[in-house]
Amino acid sequence: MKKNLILLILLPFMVAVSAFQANAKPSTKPVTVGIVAPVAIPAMTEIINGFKQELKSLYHGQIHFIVANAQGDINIQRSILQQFKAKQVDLVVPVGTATAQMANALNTSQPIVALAAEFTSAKRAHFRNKNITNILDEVDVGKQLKFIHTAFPKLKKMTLIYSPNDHIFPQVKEAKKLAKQYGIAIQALMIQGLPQLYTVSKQIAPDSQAIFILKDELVVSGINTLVKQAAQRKLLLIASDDGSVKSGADFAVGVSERLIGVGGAKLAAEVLNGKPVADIPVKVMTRYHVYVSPAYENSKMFGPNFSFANIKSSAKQFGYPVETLASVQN
Amino acid sequence: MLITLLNALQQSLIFIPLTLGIYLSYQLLQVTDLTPDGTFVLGAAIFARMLTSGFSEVTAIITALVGGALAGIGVALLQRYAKINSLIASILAVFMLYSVNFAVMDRPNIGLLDYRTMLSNLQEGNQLVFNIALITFAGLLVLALYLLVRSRLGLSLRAFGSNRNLIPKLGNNPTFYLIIGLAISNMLAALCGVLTAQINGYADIHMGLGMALTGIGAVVIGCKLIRSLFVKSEAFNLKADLLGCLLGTYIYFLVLNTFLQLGLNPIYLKLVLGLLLALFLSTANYSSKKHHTMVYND
Repeated sequence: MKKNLILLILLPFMVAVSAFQANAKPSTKPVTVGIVAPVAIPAMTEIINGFKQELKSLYHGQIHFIVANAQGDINIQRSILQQFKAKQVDLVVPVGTATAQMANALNTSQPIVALAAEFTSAKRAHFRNKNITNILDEVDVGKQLKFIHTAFPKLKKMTLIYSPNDHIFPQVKEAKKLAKQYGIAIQALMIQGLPQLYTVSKQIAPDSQAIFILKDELVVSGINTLVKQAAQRKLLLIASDDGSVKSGADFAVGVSERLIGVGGAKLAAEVLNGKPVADIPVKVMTRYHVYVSPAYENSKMFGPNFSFANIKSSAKQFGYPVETLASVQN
Repeated sequence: MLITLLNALQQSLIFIPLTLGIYLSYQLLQVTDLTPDGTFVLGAAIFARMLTSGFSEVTAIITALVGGALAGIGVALLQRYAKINSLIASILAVFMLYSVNFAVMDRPNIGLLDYRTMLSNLQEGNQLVFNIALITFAGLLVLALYLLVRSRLGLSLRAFGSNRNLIPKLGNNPTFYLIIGLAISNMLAALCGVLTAQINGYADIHMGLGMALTGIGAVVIGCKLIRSLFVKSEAFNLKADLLGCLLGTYIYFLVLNTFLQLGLNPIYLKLVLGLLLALFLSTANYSSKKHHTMVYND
């Protein structure tokens, strides 16, 4: 009788615990995730590494990653995506907007989690294939300019070097428009290819006080040229991602490449655990960081108007964490 | 394996217009024209811009084709009147077309994922129907080119390629044939761009990279194979050449897909494909003593 009474008391707890476990227990079936990047550049590698590491910790089953690089060739990219379709991978992860567009057009049955793709929720709502969600990593150039202006009120002119990348172009237009509000004149210089970077960097106006670059894969891949120019002419080199600071930029205000991957992994885990991808909202990267190079942190070259102390105080004001990154020369 | 074969087939059918265009310039006119790298993007750019600006799909396609043809005419004029070597003229044209394409698009990338087009509808439907539609379209294009080359105009185009000095002696203007040939060739490249934009869901300023070389590769591989396997005669054989274009395109994409299927790191794909192409080009030139049609100018 006593035993039965104990069982009776424990039964609701046991049912509740088992129900909770059933709900909380993530899927553990082995899955294959196909990742495709358009080109081989450090930023893409950072994003993919962040994605893989985070997803391994979030998903409790076995994950087989297929990582392929299209080498800037749309035929190769298409073949890779068709192979993913044929292999019936559980999740397709394209990196970049154009790659995500192709994946969305080709793979209508497989879920897609796109990293660093410029699709807003409103835009996605109009897609024919809604089997996609993404991490929108577009850095708000308005916020960047506001930060720069707050840190350096004496900054009157800076040179923006950019390439005709799909997500960069509108940001440049925006930067030109907004900079006027802060009394900053923007000298915008476009490069069509890396060989032009050296020539264009020689066109930086003599009264320019800083070089500013966005999250622009092409320009970032040639950042050493700009680092040298900036050093020769004693100009600040302001970037928009952590990788550029590691490569020699003085500081950056923006989002971390790795965190783009981490954010994508969270979306991917939801998909792999059974949530329909169309129900997962687009995640916008809003957590800004300030990345500073140790050289700039300790430098007195730029004077009190453009010192690290200004950055630190501005970051505090905006609530952005400041991180010093050790330089990794390419 | 069957899926790899089908994937390669689908890709090659979309690519056929460009291969046929390259065949016209590279084989018939004997002109090395790399302009398709730019006109491919131009076709996609005009199509995408017009579609997103509210024009009908048919109007967008026709305008894209006209754009490609005009670019071809421009290159022909550069060659004839500016007296620039055909290869250099085409490189110059690609260089300039970058700005033109940018101006047409007004931005580096135009997404078409929220637009319904004939091909995107077919692509999302039954795959068999989609493949049949592509095969039919490619077949019609091949037939059109066959009829063109067999016509009087086609004969003159061939004459231009075989012996340019003969044309003035026949009382005709060689520039006219160069213009016509390159206009059609680049119009076909633009058509390929239009198809690709519909299938891939976007037009992008960088999407033309290496297209002309891929087309030349497909023509060389296909024509070389067909001639060495089935045609023993040295005479011009249009049917064999057109079959070679189809086969070459298919082989190119089959090799690409097979290497990927076998797990070859895509980093080495271009190296392997380049070596394969070099092998075929080399054997094509070695066999030029036997087959005069395999000798290339420039």
